[in-house]
Amino acid sequence: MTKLYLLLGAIVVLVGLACLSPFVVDETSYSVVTRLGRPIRTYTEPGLKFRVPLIDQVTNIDSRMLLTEPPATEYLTLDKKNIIARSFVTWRVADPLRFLQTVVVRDTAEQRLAAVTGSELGSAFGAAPFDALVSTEPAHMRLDEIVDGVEQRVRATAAREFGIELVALRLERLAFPQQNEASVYQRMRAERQRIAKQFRSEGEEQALKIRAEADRERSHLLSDANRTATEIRGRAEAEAATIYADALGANPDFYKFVRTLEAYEKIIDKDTTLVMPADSPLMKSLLEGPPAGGIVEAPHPPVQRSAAR
Amino acid sequence: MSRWRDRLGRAVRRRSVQGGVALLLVSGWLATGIYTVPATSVAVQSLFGAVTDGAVPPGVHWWWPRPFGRVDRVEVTRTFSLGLGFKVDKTGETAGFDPVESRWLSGDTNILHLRSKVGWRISEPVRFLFRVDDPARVLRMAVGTAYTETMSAMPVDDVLTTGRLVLREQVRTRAQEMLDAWQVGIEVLSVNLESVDPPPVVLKAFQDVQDARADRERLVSDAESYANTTIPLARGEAEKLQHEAESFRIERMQAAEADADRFARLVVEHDRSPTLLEKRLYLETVERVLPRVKRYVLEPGNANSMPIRILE
Repeated sequence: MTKLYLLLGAIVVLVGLACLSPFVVDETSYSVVTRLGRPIRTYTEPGLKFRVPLIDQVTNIDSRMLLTEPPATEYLTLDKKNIIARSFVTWRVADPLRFLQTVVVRDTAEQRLAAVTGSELGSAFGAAPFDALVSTEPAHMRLDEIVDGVEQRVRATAAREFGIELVALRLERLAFPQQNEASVYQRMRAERQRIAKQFRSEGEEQALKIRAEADRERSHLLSDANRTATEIRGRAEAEAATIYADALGANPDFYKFVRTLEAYEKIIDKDTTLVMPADSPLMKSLLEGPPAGGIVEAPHPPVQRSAAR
Repeated sequence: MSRWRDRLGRAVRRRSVQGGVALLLVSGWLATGIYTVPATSVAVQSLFGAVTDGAVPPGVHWWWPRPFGRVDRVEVTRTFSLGLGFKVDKTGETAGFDPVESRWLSGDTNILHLRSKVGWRISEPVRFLFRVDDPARVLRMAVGTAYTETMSAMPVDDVLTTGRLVLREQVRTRAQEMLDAWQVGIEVLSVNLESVDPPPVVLKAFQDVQDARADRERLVSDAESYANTTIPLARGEAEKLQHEAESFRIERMQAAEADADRFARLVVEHDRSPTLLEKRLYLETVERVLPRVKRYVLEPGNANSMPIRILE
C-alpha cells in the first residue's frame, strides 16, 4: 500500500512537472531559454516548445517592428542656423540573445537608440549647410542623402552593440526654434509684400503696353486713312481741273467774264453798300435812255466795292 | 481476488460516469471553437502562438478554442481615417488646426499649417497584427515624413496653389513606399489636403498677394477692353474719312461737270451772238445783286457831293 501511494504520488508530481514543461512561443515574440541563468536555446519561430521544468527559465522578447521617437531636438547647421528636427526610428530585435545581454528591455533599447540617433543627427547637420536640408534648389538639396547617411551609421551601431536591426531612421518634421519664429514671420511678410508689388507693377506694365499698342494702331489707322483721303481729294481736284480746262479752253475770255459775274454774286451780300456814279452806264441808261447808236460797247464792271458796314 | 474484482467493477462504473462528464465538458469546449467571419473581414487562425491560416474567408468556421487556438478577425474592407494637424479635444478631431502638429516648412523656408486626412486599409492582416507594434502610429510617422521630405523641396507658392495635387500624390507614393519596405501591412488609399494656410500672423500679407494677382488680371483686362474698343473705333473713323473723301470727289466731279456743261451751253449761245449774251448776263447779275444792298448814286464828277439815296 505504502509503495502504491508513493508510486501514485511520484506520478502526480511528474505529471505536474510535465505540465510546466510546455510553453508557447508567440507570433509576436522570440523566446530565450536560460538554464540556471545560462542561455541555452533561442526560439525565433512561433509554436509549442518544451523545457525542463524548474531549472529552465523562458524570457520573451518582442519580435515585432517597434517605433521609437527620440524627443525633438534643436541642432545647429554648418552655417550656424538653428533647426529643430523630430526624428523616429523603426527597429526590431535581430539577435535576441545579444539584445538580452546588452540592453535587456525595450525601454533601455529606446533610450540608447535615441541617444545614438541624436548624436549622429547632430554631427550630420553640423556638417551640412541649412539649404541642404530645406531648399527649392535641387542642386543644394541633400536631405534624403543626409538622412540615409545617419540611418546607415545608426544601423551599424545598433546591430553591433545591441543586436538590433534598424529598419529605418527618418525625419518626421523640421521646424524653426520658437525664438526664431518672429524673424521668420517678418521675412515671410516682406517676401509677400515684394511679390504683391511685383504683380501690381507687372499688371501696370502689361496694361501700359497694351494701351500703347492700341494707341499706336489707332494713329496708324487714322494717318493711313488721312493720307488716302488726301490723295483722293487731290486726285479729285486734279480731275476737276482737267474737266474745267477742257471745257473752258473753248473760250477763255468769255469764261473769265462769266466767272467774274458769279464772283460778284458771291461777294456782294445784304451788308454791302454800293455807291454808283450817276454817269455809270447803268444809271446813264436809266436817266438818259438808250444811246442813239445802241449799246455796242463791251460791258465793263460798273460797280466798285466799298467797305462793308 | 473477488474483493479486488468488486473494487475494479465499482471503479469502472464510477469511471464511466466521470468519463461521460469529461466527454461532455470536452465536446462543450470544442463547440466554443465555432466562429463566424463577417463579409467585411477575414480571420487569422493560430495554434500555440503560430499562425496557421492568415486569410480565412467570411463564413462559419471551426478552430481550436482557447487556450490552444486563437482567432483574430480583421476588417479588411473598411477604410480607416487618419488626421494630421487637426486640433484634437475630448470629442476627437475638431475643425481647427493644432498650432504645432500642423506646422511644416516649405522649401523656401516658409511656415505653413497643413491639415491632412489619410484614408487607409489593412492590406495584410498577419503583418498588421503580428509583425508591427502600433501600425497606426507607424503610418502617422510615415505620412508625416513624406510631407516633410516633399515639402522641403517645394516653394510655398506651389504648395498653396498649383502644387497641391503633386504634393498629395508624392506624399501618398512616398508613404506607401515606406510602409511596403517596412512590411506594415497597410495600404494608403488616399491623401487629402483639407487645408493649407499661412500662419495667422502673416495671413493678411498672403491675401494681399492674391489681391495683387487679381489686380494684375484686372489691369490687363481693362487695357485689353480699351484696345478692343479703341481699334475698331479707329478703324471706323478711318473708313469714315475715306468715305468722306470719296464723296467729296464725287461732288467735286459732278460740280465740275455741271459747270462745264453749263459753260459749254453758254459758249454755244455766245458763239451765236456774243454781245447780246454778255449784256444779258450782266444785267441779270445786276438784277440779282442790287436788290440785296444799300445803294447810293453820286453826281458825276463830284466825289464830295452828298450821295443820293434812291432806295431803302
